[in-house]
Amino acid sequence: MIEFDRVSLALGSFRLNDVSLRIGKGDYYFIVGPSGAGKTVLLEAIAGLHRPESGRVLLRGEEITALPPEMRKVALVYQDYSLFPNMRVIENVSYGLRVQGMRKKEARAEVAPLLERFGIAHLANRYPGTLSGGEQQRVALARAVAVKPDILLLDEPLSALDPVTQEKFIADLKRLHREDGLTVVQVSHSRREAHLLATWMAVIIDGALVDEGEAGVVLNAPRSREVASFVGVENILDGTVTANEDGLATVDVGGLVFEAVTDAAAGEEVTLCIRADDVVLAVGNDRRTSARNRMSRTVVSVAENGPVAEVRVDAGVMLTAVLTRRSVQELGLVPGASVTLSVKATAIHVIHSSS
Amino acid sequence: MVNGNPIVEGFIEAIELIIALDPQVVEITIRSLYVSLTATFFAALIALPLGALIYFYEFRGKHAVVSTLQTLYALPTVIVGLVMFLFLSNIGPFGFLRLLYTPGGMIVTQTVLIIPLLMGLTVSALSGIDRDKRYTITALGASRLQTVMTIISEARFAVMAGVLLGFGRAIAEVGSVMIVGGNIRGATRVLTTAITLNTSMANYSLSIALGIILLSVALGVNLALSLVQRR
Repeated sequence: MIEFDRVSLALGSFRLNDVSLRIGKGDYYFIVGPSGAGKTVLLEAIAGLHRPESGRVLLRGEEITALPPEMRKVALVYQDYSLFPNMRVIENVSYGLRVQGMRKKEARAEVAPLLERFGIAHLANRYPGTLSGGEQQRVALARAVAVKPDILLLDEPLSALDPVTQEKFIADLKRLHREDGLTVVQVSHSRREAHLLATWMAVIIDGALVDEGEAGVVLNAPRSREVASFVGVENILDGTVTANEDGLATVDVGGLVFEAVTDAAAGEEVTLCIRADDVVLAVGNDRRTSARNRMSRTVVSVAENGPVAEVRVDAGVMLTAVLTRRSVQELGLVPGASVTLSVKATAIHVIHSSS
Repeated sequence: MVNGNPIVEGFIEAIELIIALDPQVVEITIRSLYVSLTATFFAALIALPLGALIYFYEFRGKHAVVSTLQTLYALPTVIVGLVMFLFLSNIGPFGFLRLLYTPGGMIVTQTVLIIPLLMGLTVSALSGIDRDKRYTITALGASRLQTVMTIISEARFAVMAGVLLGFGRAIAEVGSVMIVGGNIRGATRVLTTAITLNTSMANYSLSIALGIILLSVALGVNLALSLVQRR
């Protein structure tokens, strides 16, 4: 649908470097990256608010690099909602239609179903300053959707909301994406949000796009150590391949040996990425499993977080496993307890040192 | 008449003058309000669009222009009076307008005096509308003109507060209207110049009466300002 072809632009001392990406129709596209990486600038560049120095922007194959924002059929929702404080909710929501030339009465009739849908009809005559954060967010979203955009651009829309309101809003966004078939581009730094919403994902660091692909692939098989660290891979281990037989490599990580499925050759430096979900803990040493990596070690810490617990095990290097609290209780996992830790060779993602 | 402290006596007489709507007090008050309100109106007419222009357009030296405007907030009024006197006197380039020692000349002088203040405050008021809001408006499909109009509309209370401050500076100002107006009885005498003159003549009751009115106007402006700022 929209494509960036080697787009570069400067904004003060910040530079967006040679960014190429493709957002398909109906995608829920996440742009993630650390603070100051250029996520919002990229989002604004999609909206046409910054003119590229070089490169091309294409919409359905046609170049729109110089097309002004008001002609792009996009709508942008910022983290702080950017509502107009001196306009009532109904005026805020119908603003986009009004500036596009629709009469006041028609515009209000047009947005009435939207107010119902977002549960803000009863707030129609209130000013934004009298609304809660969640209500303001729904008003901002209704205002954006009212103009029937081809692409909805969201800049960290959940970061200012409390956890309960976040859950409701995530459900709203899912429904909007699924039922309306809307193309959504969302800037976020939350892996959890990406897990719940994203179908496609780009990672941007220091103004450069360092990874892009299906959300599941980027989250579980990152392209570089930097991306792995950013997307929250819990176990990132640097090692050297000592042997490779038919694609099953033996990797030495500071004396600890792992087997992983990779085409990395003997002698090659690699980084192993192991999701905490993929680390299995057992008590005793008598269970036979198909897991290629199996070692008896000691629990260092157990940190409970809601229904799950993060268990850290000293295996020469520190490894993290995520278990349900019930499993932790049933296995009697406490610091100092002996456990057998296993990881399937196929669950280890190997990053070549050249990546 | 109460005998005793001349200040207390003057204060009591002043209240009597106000209650009795003394013709001289009424005439000076009306002239003051007329001159300063008219000056504020014309200054707003000029400064608001210019302030908006400075805010919305990027140009080299923009920062210097804004800094200069802010410096001019503290411009000594007697300097403005002197410059305007030279401009409006017979030897000056605008002498042919015959505005010296007329309310018209005082209006022009006060207009010049508060234009930088209103321009600077307009820029500040518009800057209060953040970048995200500006981008949101544009992305929702607003043209450049619609974006400008929406931002001005959203900043209207802050802009109004600036205009009220400008009026406050104009009506409380004495130096320039004294020089350009000449403080002529029945023609160019306003609250501030009348207070100056009557105090020097030990006519305390009239000075205090005019002072109370001037303070009431200032209080009214402050009340209006706080009401506007509450929005």
